[in-house]
Amino acid sequence: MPVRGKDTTIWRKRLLILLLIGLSLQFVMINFNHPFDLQTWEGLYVDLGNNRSPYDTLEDLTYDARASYGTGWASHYMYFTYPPMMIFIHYPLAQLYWQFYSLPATYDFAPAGVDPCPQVPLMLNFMWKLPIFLAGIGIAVLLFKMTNGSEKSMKMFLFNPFIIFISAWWMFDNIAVFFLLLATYLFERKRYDLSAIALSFGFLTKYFPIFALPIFCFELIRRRSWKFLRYALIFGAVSAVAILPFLNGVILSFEFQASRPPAGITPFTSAVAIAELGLVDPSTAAHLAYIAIPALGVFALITGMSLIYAYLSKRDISLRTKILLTFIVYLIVMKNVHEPFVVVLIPFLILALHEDYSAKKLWLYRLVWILPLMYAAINVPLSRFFYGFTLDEGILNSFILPIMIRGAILALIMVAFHLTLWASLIKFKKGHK
Amino acid sequence: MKKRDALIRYLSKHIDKIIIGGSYGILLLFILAMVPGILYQERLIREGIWQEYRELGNDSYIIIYALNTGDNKPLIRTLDGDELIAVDGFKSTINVNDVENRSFWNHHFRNVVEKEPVMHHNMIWENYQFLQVTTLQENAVTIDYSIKCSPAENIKLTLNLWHRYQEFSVLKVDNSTVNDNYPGENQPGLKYVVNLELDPQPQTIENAPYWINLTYSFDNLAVKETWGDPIVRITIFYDTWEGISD
Repeated sequence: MPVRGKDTTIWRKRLLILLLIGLSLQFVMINFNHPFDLQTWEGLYVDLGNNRSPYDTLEDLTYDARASYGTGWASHYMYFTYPPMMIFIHYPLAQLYWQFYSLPATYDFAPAGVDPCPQVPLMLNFMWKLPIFLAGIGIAVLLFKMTNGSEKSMKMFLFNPFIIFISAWWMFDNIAVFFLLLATYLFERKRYDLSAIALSFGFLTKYFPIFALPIFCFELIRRRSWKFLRYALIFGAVSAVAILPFLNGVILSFEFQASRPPAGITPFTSAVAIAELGLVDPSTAAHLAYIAIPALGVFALITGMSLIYAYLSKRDISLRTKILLTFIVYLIVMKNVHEPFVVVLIPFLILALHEDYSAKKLWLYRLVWILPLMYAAINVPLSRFFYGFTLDEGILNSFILPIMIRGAILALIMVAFHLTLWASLIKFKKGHK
Repeated sequence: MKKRDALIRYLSKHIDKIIIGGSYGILLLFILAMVPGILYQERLIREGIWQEYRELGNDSYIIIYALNTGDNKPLIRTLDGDELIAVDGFKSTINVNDVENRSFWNHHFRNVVEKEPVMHHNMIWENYQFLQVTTLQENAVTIDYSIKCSPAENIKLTLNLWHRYQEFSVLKVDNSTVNDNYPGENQPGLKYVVNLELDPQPQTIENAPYWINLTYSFDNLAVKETWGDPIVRITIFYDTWEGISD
């Protein structure tokens, strides 16, 4: 616990140093990237530099992907398929960036299904990742506040290898999780309007924070307060203001999320594995990947989330635990569980451990991030993040394991991860009030 | 106030049952909403698969352009064991009623090692369908177009060329413009833009009421027309490029 007077100053300096070390660790690795996602960030900057909506580019690329025949065929192109918050955040940064670099007349995208190998200046990586790193610092500070000044909780997040890997190398989930955690913090302090706005910002960054909206509303209903209506209205109004200018693009990206083939650490991917092993003909594989599994995914998602909402709606446990359990179930029932998605669990698990520590829970927490980290290292694989660091990128392909061995290892990790999620669901449901 | 209090008490007491009941409603809504989406998705897959096996040009209206690649060999690269040949340099854009625009960039040929240097495009959106089959040949790239739309549509097809060696293969098409100095979508190397004004005349095509008719020129073009029932096939190829090289 922090103390007053001179010690407070020392304490604050110590915290600042910790945050700076955490920030530096990520900046050191700024030039590592997932090549496919880097193509999106680079394209987004060119779009914003041209004052062009990235959703228009997404639409063009999607039509092109649908038009292509054969291995390049896809129902949607994986470009900027997110809500618009990143456009708002990066528009001024992109304008600044193009003051120093010449805006290219054209940009090129790899055909759907083909790996791109983009190379971007260090400055673009810096611009893109700065908000992600700041969001990570924000999460650490919130954890510090929400645990009554637990330095350990903050360090658990700041120096978590999985968090460093995802935010420095890969994805911007940190930003969405920061807003979600901020919404929780504000809700706990009864600042409901601000909480609704923060949750909306989270939803406008990545779609998943919307699954916390019912939890916040049901919590108010459980407390017999009509404020749930106001909460939902504020959330809806803020989201609508941001989405309406990009409505068609957001609908297209929703379509993409709904119909995209299953991927990541989920049993749904077994359908894709069946196709990759050649056990079904291409037509059946396409129908499985683009129709049957996404349809099944919708049923699993609605059913699973409804059950957890119904279960939690009358439980007298802490709000943060409820959100943790909600997102554990979300990862269990989703058809797409890409490794970065797991970031949402980390701060809430840290909070739950602070509330009620046990050695078993600590091990579950560790498994929750170690297994996706292992999965990413083999699935992506890790060598793909090193594009640009070698003169012969063909060498990187030699690190890819043979498909059968790779498939078997990934399947084992996926099963272990699901068992961990189920065990966490059971273990952490006994959260404190 | 009492009613409001009673209602929130009721909500609070039965919220779990309301959620489960609501989930059935949401599932039902999703089923209803998913039906058109699934049908559309199914059509995208089915038409794409079907195209591979069908006889190109069957029940469709086709124009073939031949483009000279000169002495420039296409870029060949290996990626994940799949050999690709990239021919950057031309783009087709279809414009419907001056509003709808769809573009096709023709720059990657797959399966060349398997002797299938053909790139299929099969674009379906709303009531339109645009088939494009691009074939890499010894010294040429051939593009087959088929366009399906409703009879009243105003269709324009634009072909952008920006290979430097295109300057020797002037493509002339009636009702079109060939602009030597046109900068062309900020592409510095762009040489020609061919705009084709397409005039839907469905009454001229027997048993093919939804396939548009094209107007074109016979100048410098060898034209072979095949009118059938219901096959409508026109092949146009530009034959003066052969032997021309820089």
